[in-house]
Amino acid sequence: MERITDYELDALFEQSALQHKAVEQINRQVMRTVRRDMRLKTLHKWAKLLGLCFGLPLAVVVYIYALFVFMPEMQEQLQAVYIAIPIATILGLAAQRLHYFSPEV
Amino acid sequence: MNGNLSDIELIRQVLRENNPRAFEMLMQRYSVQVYSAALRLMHDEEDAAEVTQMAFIQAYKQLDSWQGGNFGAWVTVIANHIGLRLLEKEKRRRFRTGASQPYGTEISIEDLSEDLPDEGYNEQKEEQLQALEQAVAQLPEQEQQIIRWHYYEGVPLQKIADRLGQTENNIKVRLFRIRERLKKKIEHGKDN
Repeated sequence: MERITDYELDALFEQSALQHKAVEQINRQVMRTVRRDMRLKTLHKWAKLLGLCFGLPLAVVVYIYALFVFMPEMQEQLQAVYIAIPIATILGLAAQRLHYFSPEV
Repeated sequence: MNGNLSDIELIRQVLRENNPRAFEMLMQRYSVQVYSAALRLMHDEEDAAEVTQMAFIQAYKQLDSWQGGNFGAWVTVIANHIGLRLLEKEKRRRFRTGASQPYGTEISIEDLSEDLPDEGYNEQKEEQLQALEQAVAQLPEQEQQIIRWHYYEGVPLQKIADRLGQTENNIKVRLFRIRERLKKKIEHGKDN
């Protein structure tokens, strides 16, 4: 059996400490990227929430306003398109949600 | 945060709560293992560091596709793929500049592992280092702490004794015994 001397063990500890320092440096770099990505995700989430709270009601108000103002002057075909577009959008979004739905996180 | 949380609990925290500390804990748990695997493949410290970094970032981005099991092993597999891709790229580049093999030719892993830049790399030393890491990880928590303070953070024995409420001589004796146990474990690892 080959014995490990105290000198060899000290050298191993020294090398291990150096390796730990290198790994700590890697961890710091990775965490910088991860934190930046998480900040972006949080921003994205808030932007979506704000869009849902303010953007959606605004879009509905604009749509209804336009419905009352311009509808009487439109041709029948254009009226149908004008009504079909939001319905198709809502159905499309619902289908997309169902497609990507997962009960797990 | 509790350091005893399992991998799956930490991953849930990353995915559900967007908690960076949870991912940091996962990385601290496995980065030495992944780095060692990358070093064995790349035979170069800088390349190994790059591969480890890329592997953890990729693991973070694909965390929702993790199928369970050992997280460290999963990241190691990612690191191996990245490392092999880098080696293949390098090998092809050398083939092209040497014009000895046309682009698109199949290259085996044996081809990739030859001519590696192994300055400063010593496989036996690397195995011993891994054996040391494993042996330290198997020690009781307080003994691991003594090792960390003394060898990795350079804390003097007197200070360690103060922290643990023991005498310096007591710490010296404990350290001597720990070293003897570690030596035996490394030697045992060598024989296997």
